[in-house]
Amino acid sequence: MENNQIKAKEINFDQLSDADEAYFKNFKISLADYPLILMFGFLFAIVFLQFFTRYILNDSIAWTEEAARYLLILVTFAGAIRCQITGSHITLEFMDKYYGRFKIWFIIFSLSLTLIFISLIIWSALVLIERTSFQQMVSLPFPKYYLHAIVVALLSINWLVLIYLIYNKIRNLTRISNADILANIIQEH
Amino acid sequence: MALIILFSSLFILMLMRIPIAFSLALSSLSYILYEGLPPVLLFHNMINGMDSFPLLSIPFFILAGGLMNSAGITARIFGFARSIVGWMPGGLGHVNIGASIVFAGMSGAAVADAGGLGAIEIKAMREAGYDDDFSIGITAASSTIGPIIPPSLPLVIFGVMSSVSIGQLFVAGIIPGLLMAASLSVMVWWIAKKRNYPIDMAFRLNNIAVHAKTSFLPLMTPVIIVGGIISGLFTPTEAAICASAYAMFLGLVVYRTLAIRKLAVISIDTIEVTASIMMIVGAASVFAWILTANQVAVHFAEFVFSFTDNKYIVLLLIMALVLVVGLFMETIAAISILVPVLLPIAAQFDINLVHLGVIVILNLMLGLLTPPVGMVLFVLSRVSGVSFERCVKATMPFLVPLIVVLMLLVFFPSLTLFLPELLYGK
Repeated sequence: MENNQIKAKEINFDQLSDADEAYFKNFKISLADYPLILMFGFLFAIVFLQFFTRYILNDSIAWTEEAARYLLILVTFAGAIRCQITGSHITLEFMDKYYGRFKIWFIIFSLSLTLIFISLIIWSALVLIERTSFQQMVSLPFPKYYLHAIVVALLSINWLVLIYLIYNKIRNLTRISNADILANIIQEH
Repeated sequence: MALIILFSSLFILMLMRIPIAFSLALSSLSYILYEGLPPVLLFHNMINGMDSFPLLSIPFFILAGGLMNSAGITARIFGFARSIVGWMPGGLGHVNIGASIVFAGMSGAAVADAGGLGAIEIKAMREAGYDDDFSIGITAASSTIGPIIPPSLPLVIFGVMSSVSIGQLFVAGIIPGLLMAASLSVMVWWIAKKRNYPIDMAFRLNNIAVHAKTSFLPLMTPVIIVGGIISGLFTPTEAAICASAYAMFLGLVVYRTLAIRKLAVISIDTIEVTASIMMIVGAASVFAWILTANQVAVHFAEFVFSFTDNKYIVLLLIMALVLVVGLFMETIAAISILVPVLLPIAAQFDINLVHLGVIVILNLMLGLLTPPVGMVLFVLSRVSGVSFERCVKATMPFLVPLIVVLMLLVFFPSLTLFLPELLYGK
C-alpha cells in the first residue's frame, strides 16, 4: 500500500448487502413458523399500542402492559420449540470438538435429559395450575391459569418435538452403523 | 452438601452439551428435590423471572438491529463515518470504530454489530487493500462498543436481575463506550503510522454534508433512543419499540429495501434469539432464588472479606472471576449466574451497582473476543471466510486497549458514574 494514497471509492449500498440477500433467499420459512410470526406481530402491536396511547393519546391502556408481559412469556416458550428444532439454544459449543465420534451420543443424552426436564416442568406447572386456579389476572378479565395452561401446551409440543428428535437421531445412528457394516462386508469381499 | 450438588450438577450438565438454560433449571431442580422443597417452585420462579416489562426491550432491540442491518441503514452509517474520520492515517480503521459508535446507539448486541456492520467493514477494508488480520481485529474489537453505549441487552439483563435502574446503567455506559472507541483509535493510529497505512478520504466539509444528508434519517435512530432514554422520556422498552417501528418505516417506506418476506425472516431470527436468552433468564431466576435463600453469596462475600477489606482488590478479584466465566460462557448466561453471587459482595464493600454493571459487561465483552466461546469471532469468521484460529490471533493485539480502559474504569468509578450522577443525582 502506498503511503497516504487516497483510496476512497463510492459505496454501493446494494452490492454491500449481497451476503444478506443470499441469506434471505436461502432461508426456509416452514408452516410451523407462521403462528410464531403471528404471535410476535401481535406482541409488537400491543407494545406499540401501549407506547402510542401513552405518548400520543396521553392515556395508556391499562391491560396492554400485562398482556405484553404474558405474550413475551408465550413467545419465549413457542420460540424455544424452534430453538430445539434448529439447535439454537445456547450451549457450550466449544466442547463439541472434544467429543469426537461420541458427539452423537452426547447429543442423544442431552436431548434425553432435556426431555426429562420438560416432563418435570410440565408436572410442576400442572401442580401450580391446580393450586392457583382461583387467581385472576390484574387487568385482563381472565384467570391466571390460562397463561400457565398455554405454556403447558407449548411445553407439550416441545416434549413431542424432543421425542421425534431423539427417535430421528437413534434411527440415523443405526443407519450409519448398518452402512458401516455393509461397507466392511464389501471391503472384505 | 446440597449446594455442592447444585454447582457440580450445573457444570457437569453444561459440559455434557445440555443447553445452559436447561442446565441451570435441572441443577436447581435437583437441589429442590434434594431439599424436599415443592417442585412447583421451579415453574413458579421461572415464570416470575420472565414476567418483567423491561425484558420486553430484548426482542425489540434485537429486531431493530436486524432491521437496520437488512434495510441498507448500516451501510449508510458506514458512509457517514467514512466522510468524517476517513482522513486519518489508517482511515478505514477509524471509520470502523466511528460506525460502531453510531451503530451502538441503535443496537444492543455486539454480535449484531459484527454480523451486519462487520460484514460491510471487512469488505470495504479488503477492497481498499488492508490486510485481513488488521480488518478483522479492529472490526471485532469495535463491535464490543455496542453493548456498552446504550441501548444494551446485557445491561438490561443486569438491571432486571439486580433491580438497578436500566436508565442509569444505560447513561453510565456512554463515557466508557467513548473511551473504548478512543483507545482503539489510538491503537489504529499507531499501527497505521508503523505500517504506512493510507488515508481513505480527504477531509471535505461538502463531502460530510452530502453523507449527512443521505444518512440523516438513520442517524436519527440513536438520537431517538439515547436522547429519549437520557431525557427520561422513554423507558428502555419504549425506546426499543420506537427504534423498531422507525427502522421498519425506513426500510419499508423510505428506502423500500425491506419486503414482507424479509420482515418475516428477521422476525423469526429475533424470536429465536429472544427465546434462547429468555429461557436462560427464567432458569437463572430459579438458580438465583436458591443462592439468595441460602445466602451463598453472603457467605462468599464474608470469605472474600477474610482475605482483604480493600475495595479495589475486591474489584480486581471480581474482574478476574468475571473474566474466567466470560471466557467459557455466553454473555447473558454469565450475567445470570454472576449477578446473584456478586450483589452481596458489592453491598458489603460499598461498590456502586451501576459502576459494577458497566465494568462486568465490559469485562464479559473481552470473552466475546477470546476462545473458546468468542461469539463475535465465530460471526466474523463466518462473514469473512477467515479461519476462527486466525480471527483469534488477529484480535489479540486489540484486547490491550480494551483491557487498559477496563482497568481505568475499575480504578476511577467517576468515569462511569459522572453522567448518571449528573442526570439522576447521587
